[in-house]
Amino acid sequence: MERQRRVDDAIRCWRLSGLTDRLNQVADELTNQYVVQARPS
Amino acid sequence: MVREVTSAGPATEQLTISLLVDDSQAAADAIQFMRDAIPAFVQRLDGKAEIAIATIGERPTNQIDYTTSTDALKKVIGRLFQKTGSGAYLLEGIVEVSRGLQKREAKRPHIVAISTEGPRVQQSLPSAGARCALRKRSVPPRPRARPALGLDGR
Repeated sequence: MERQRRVDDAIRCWRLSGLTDRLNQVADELTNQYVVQARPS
Repeated sequence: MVREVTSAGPATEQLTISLLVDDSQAAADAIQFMRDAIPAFVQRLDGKAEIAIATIGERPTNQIDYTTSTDALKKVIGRLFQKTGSGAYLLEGIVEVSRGLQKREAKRPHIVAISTEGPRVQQSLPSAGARCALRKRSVPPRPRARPALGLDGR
Protein backbone atom coordinates (compact mmCIF):
# COMPACT_ATOMS: atom_id res chain seq x y z
CA MET A 1 0.00 0.00 0.00
CA GLU A 2 2.73 2.44 1.00
CA ARG A 3 4.77 1.43 -2.00
CA GLN A 4 1.80 1.99 -4.32
CA ARG A 5 1.25 5.42 -2.84
CA ARG A 6 4.87 6.29 -3.59
CA VAL A 7 4.50 5.02 -7.15
CA ASP A 8 1.39 7.19 -7.60
CA ASP A 9 3.19 10.20 -6.15
CA ALA A 10 6.13 9.66 -8.49
CA ILE A 11 3.84 9.38 -11.53
CA ARG A 12 2.01 12.56 -10.55
CA CYS A 13 5.33 14.32 -10.11
CA TRP A 14 6.55 13.05 -13.50
CA ARG A 15 3.44 14.36 -15.22
CA LEU A 16 3.66 17.79 -13.66
CA SER A 17 7.37 18.23 -14.24
CA GLY A 18 6.71 18.67 -17.97
CA LEU A 19 4.65 21.81 -17.40
CA THR A 20 7.54 24.23 -17.94
CA ASP A 21 8.43 22.63 -21.28
CA ARG A 22 4.85 22.65 -22.45
CA LEU A 23 4.29 26.27 -21.53
CA ASN A 24 7.51 27.20 -23.32
CA GLN A 25 6.21 25.38 -26.39
CA VAL A 26 2.95 27.30 -26.18
CA ALA A 27 4.85 30.60 -25.88
CA ASP A 28 6.93 29.74 -28.94
CA GLU A 29 3.85 28.84 -30.95
CA LEU A 30 2.11 32.05 -29.97
CA THR A 31 5.07 34.19 -30.98
CA ASN A 32 5.57 32.39 -34.29
CA GLN A 33 2.14 32.83 -35.81
CA TYR A 34 1.48 33.84 -39.39
CA VAL A 35 -1.29 35.89 -40.89
CA VAL A 36 -2.67 34.75 -44.22
CA GLN A 37 -5.17 36.86 -46.12
CA ALA A 38 -7.25 35.51 -48.97
CA ARG A 39 -9.83 36.93 -51.32
CA PRO A 40 -13.40 36.27 -50.25
CA SER A 41 -14.87 33.22 -51.89
CA MET B 1 -12.96 25.50 -52.45
CA VAL B 2 -9.91 27.38 -53.74
CA ARG B 3 -9.29 30.93 -52.55
CA GLU B 4 -6.57 33.21 -53.80
CA VAL B 5 -4.06 34.15 -51.11
CA THR B 6 -3.30 37.86 -51.33
CA SER B 7 -0.68 38.11 -48.61
CA ALA B 8 1.07 36.05 -45.95
CA GLY B 9 3.55 36.99 -43.28
CA PRO B 10 4.47 36.82 -39.61
CA ALA B 11 1.88 38.19 -37.19
CA THR B 12 3.34 41.33 -35.67
CA GLU B 13 0.52 42.76 -33.59
CA GLN B 14 0.77 42.42 -29.85
CA LEU B 15 -0.65 39.27 -28.31
CA THR B 16 -3.36 39.56 -25.68
CA ILE B 17 -3.26 36.53 -23.43
CA SER B 18 -5.57 35.59 -20.63
CA LEU B 19 -3.92 33.03 -18.41
CA LEU B 20 -6.36 30.89 -16.45
CA VAL B 21 -4.78 29.10 -13.53
CA ASP B 22 -6.39 26.30 -11.57
CA ASP B 23 -5.96 26.96 -7.85
CA SER B 24 -8.70 24.59 -6.74
CA GLN B 25 -8.26 21.85 -4.17
CA ALA B 26 -7.65 19.32 -6.97
CA ALA B 27 -4.65 21.32 -8.15
CA ALA B 28 -2.93 21.27 -4.78
CA ASP B 29 -0.12 19.03 -6.02
CA ALA B 30 0.38 21.15 -9.11
CA ILE B 31 0.61 24.61 -7.54
CA GLN B 32 4.35 24.46 -6.92
CA PHE B 33 4.95 23.31 -10.50
CA MET B 34 2.82 26.20 -11.73
CA ARG B 35 4.81 28.66 -9.63
CA ASP B 36 7.96 27.34 -11.29
CA ALA B 37 6.64 27.15 -14.84
CA ILE B 38 4.51 30.27 -15.31
CA PRO B 39 7.29 32.85 -14.66
CA ALA B 40 9.32 31.30 -17.50
CA PHE B 41 6.25 31.51 -19.72
CA VAL B 42 5.64 35.21 -19.06
CA GLN B 43 9.35 35.95 -19.38
CA ARG B 44 9.40 34.30 -22.80
CA LEU B 45 6.56 36.57 -23.89
CA ASP B 46 8.15 39.72 -22.47
CA GLY B 47 7.65 42.62 -24.88
CA LYS B 48 5.40 40.56 -27.16
CA ALA B 49 2.22 40.23 -25.15
CA GLU B 50 -0.05 41.84 -22.63
CA ILE B 51 -1.09 39.19 -20.14
CA ALA B 52 -3.82 38.94 -17.52
CA ILE B 53 -4.05 36.24 -14.88
CA ALA B 54 -7.24 34.83 -13.40
CA THR B 55 -7.68 31.89 -11.08
CA ILE B 56 -10.57 29.45 -11.34
CA GLY B 57 -10.74 27.83 -7.90
CA GLU B 58 -14.12 28.41 -6.22
CA ARG B 59 -15.02 31.00 -8.88
CA PRO B 60 -13.22 32.81 -11.68
CA THR B 61 -11.23 35.58 -10.00
CA ASN B 62 -9.20 38.22 -11.75
CA GLN B 63 -5.74 38.40 -10.16
CA ILE B 64 -4.17 41.00 -12.42
CA ASP B 65 -5.54 42.88 -15.40
CA TYR B 66 -3.78 42.90 -18.77
CA THR B 67 -0.27 44.19 -18.34
CA THR B 68 3.07 44.05 -20.10
CA SER B 69 4.93 44.17 -16.78
CA THR B 70 6.66 40.83 -16.33
CA ASP B 71 7.59 41.76 -12.75
CA ALA B 72 3.98 42.44 -11.79
CA LEU B 73 2.88 39.15 -13.31
CA LYS B 74 5.61 37.23 -11.49
CA LYS B 75 4.54 38.76 -8.18
CA VAL B 76 1.01 37.50 -8.72
CA ILE B 77 2.26 34.04 -9.63
CA GLY B 78 4.34 33.91 -6.46
CA ARG B 79 1.18 34.44 -4.44
CA LEU B 80 -0.67 31.46 -5.93
CA PHE B 81 -2.06 29.07 -3.34
CA GLN B 82 -4.66 26.38 -3.48
CA LYS B 83 -8.13 27.31 -2.29
CA THR B 84 -8.88 24.54 0.15
CA GLY B 85 -12.19 22.82 -0.40
CA SER B 86 -12.85 24.57 -3.71
CA GLY B 87 -13.76 23.13 -7.09
CA ALA B 88 -12.44 24.33 -10.44
CA TYR B 89 -14.59 26.50 -12.70
CA LEU B 90 -12.67 26.42 -15.94
CA LEU B 91 -15.61 26.73 -18.32
CA GLU B 92 -17.02 29.65 -16.38
CA GLY B 93 -13.58 31.25 -16.41
CA ILE B 94 -13.29 30.84 -20.16
CA VAL B 95 -16.70 32.42 -20.68
CA GLU B 96 -15.80 35.42 -18.50
CA VAL B 97 -12.42 36.13 -20.05
CA SER B 98 -13.84 35.62 -23.54
CA ARG B 99 -16.30 38.43 -22.88
CA GLY B 100 -13.46 40.61 -21.62
CA LEU B 101 -11.36 39.88 -24.70
CA GLN B 102 -14.29 40.68 -26.94
CA LYS B 103 -14.87 44.03 -25.23
CA ARG B 104 -11.19 44.79 -25.47
CA GLU B 105 -11.27 44.14 -29.21
CA ALA B 106 -7.90 42.46 -28.91
CA LYS B 107 -6.15 41.88 -32.23
CA ARG B 108 -4.58 38.56 -31.27
CA PRO B 109 -6.54 37.22 -28.30
CA HIS B 110 -5.65 33.91 -26.69
CA ILE B 111 -6.64 32.03 -23.59
CA VAL B 112 -4.06 29.74 -22.02
CA ALA B 113 -5.57 27.51 -19.36
CA ILE B 114 -3.60 25.45 -16.89
CA SER B 115 -6.06 23.09 -15.34
CA THR B 116 -6.43 19.73 -13.72
CA GLU B 117 -9.92 19.39 -15.17
CA GLY B 118 -10.20 16.72 -17.81
CA PRO B 119 -12.81 15.24 -20.14
CA ARG B 120 -15.74 17.49 -19.20
CA VAL B 121 -14.00 20.60 -20.48
CA GLN B 122 -12.26 18.92 -23.40
CA GLN B 123 -15.62 17.74 -24.72
CA SER B 124 -17.57 20.90 -23.99
CA LEU B 125 -15.29 23.43 -25.66
CA PRO B 126 -15.25 22.12 -29.24
CA SER B 127 -19.01 21.53 -29.12
CA ALA B 128 -19.40 25.20 -28.13
CA GLY B 129 -17.50 26.23 -31.25
CA ALA B 130 -14.15 26.98 -29.62
CA ARG B 131 -10.99 26.35 -31.56
CA CYS B 132 -8.79 24.50 -29.12
CA ALA B 133 -5.24 23.35 -29.01
CA LEU B 134 -5.29 20.91 -26.16
CA ARG B 135 -2.06 19.57 -24.85
CA LYS B 136 -1.98 16.98 -22.21
CA ARG B 137 0.75 14.98 -20.69
CA SER B 138 0.20 11.28 -21.18
CA VAL B 139 0.26 9.06 -18.17
CA PRO B 140 3.06 6.52 -18.22
CA PRO B 141 2.01 2.87 -18.00
CA ARG B 142 1.71 1.66 -14.46
CA PRO B 143 4.72 -0.48 -13.66
CA ARG B 144 3.84 -4.15 -13.65
CA ALA B 145 6.84 -5.35 -11.75
CA ARG B 146 9.18 -3.55 -9.42
CA PRO B 147 9.38 0.11 -10.51
CA ALA B 148 12.61 1.24 -12.05
CA LEU B 149 12.63 4.45 -10.04
CA GLY B 150 14.24 4.46 -6.64
CA LEU B 151 10.98 5.46 -5.08
CA ASP B 152 11.77 4.40 -1.61
CA GLY B 153 15.26 5.85 -1.64
CA ARG B 154 16.98 2.47 -1.95
